[in-house]
Amino acid sequence: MPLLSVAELRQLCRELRVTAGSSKDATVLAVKQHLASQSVLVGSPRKSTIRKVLKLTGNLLLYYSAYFTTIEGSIVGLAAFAKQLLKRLELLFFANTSMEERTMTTMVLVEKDVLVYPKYAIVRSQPLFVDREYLLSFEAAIAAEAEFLELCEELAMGASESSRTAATGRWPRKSNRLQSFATEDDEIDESFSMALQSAAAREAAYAACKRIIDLWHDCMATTTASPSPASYFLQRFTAAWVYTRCASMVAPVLERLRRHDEAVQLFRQLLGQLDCCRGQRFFKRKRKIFVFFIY
Amino acid sequence: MDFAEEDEKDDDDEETNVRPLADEKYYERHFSVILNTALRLYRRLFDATELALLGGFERMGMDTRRLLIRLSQRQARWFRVPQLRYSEISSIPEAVAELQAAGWCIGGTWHCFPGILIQKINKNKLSRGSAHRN
Repeated sequence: MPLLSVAELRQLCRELRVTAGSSKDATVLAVKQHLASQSVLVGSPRKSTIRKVLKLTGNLLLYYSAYFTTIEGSIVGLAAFAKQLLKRLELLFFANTSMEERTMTTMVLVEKDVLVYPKYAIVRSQPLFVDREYLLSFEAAIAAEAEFLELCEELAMGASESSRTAATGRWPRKSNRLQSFATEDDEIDESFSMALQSAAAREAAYAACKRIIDLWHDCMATTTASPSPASYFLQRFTAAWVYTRCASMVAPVLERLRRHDEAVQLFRQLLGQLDCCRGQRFFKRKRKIFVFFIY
Repeated sequence: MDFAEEDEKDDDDEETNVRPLADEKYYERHFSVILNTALRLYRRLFDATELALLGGFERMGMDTRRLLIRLSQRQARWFRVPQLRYSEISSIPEAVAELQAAGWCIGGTWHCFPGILIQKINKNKLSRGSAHRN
């Protein structure tokens, strides 16, 4: 932190709402005291404080170095294994594919009558997961999906931050055309499209798309030999369903990457299967026709 | 009545419809329901290590159980023990020690975890940081 100039330190104080001291040393001390008062040791880089500092200093190492020098006392965190186990408990209890409803907050909202579900009798004709192997493959698929979405989010976040200072205006014309055709099913927003202007981002996004498509192909190849054909509802709790959902999200990204042949091919494959995500067929068909004829 | 007043009235109505929680320890009750239901219906999906950990939950002290549930509901990965404050937990350091002994948590001083720093600073984030600076 002493490496920062006085102007940078002043700006940092403004961002963190810390009163600057009369000298540089006093200001550094004030910032360090502010950081030391935070209860969370190292949060996500998306947390506002870190983002503010990162935006200003451009150096995460600097931030962490400064931060770690302020820490006293012990730290604690849930073991990764324990965290995974607690997540699994919630998944099995809530039997819900929506992340928002798969937490204890749902129970609080129900108890407070903020969230009301219709009364129904639960008939468990089939188990949610046939065996542990199915559960683990489902969790692996969920993890792959989260990783893909996180990458999209990171790219979009980077783009929305940089667009304030360096919007070129080249991409939006084409994206507007796509946006005008897009439906509410389209997961890819404007900031993500802008992120794909950089070659590194395009490369990262394409590598992530390829990985998801490969995982989907592998999974679908083994799913045909599934020993227990589950009901359509229970299909949601299979790796095949999750990878199909991911592949549906990948197709619009391929469009943005201007890999229209691959996008059309993927739409064809998605429409060629009838096991998973049938509800999106109309959107996929419309999109395929659009991409095929325009490009 | 203008729209602002109407909105305010709706908000008041909504507030009066919200039922208060039965007690302060609602999260303990909720977690017990989740744990017991999951174990009753899907015991075969857990391996021996997981079952041992889950089985030990009921045997832990009340403070320890509460702290575990509290930490599990937070998004951050690492917490500073002296800064953790929960009014219903009488001794947080003791609860932390029990959680560590049971295998639910890992901890120590930050010097023990240089990995935390390395994990957080990957090439991608650093390069993005440099771009901001340039």
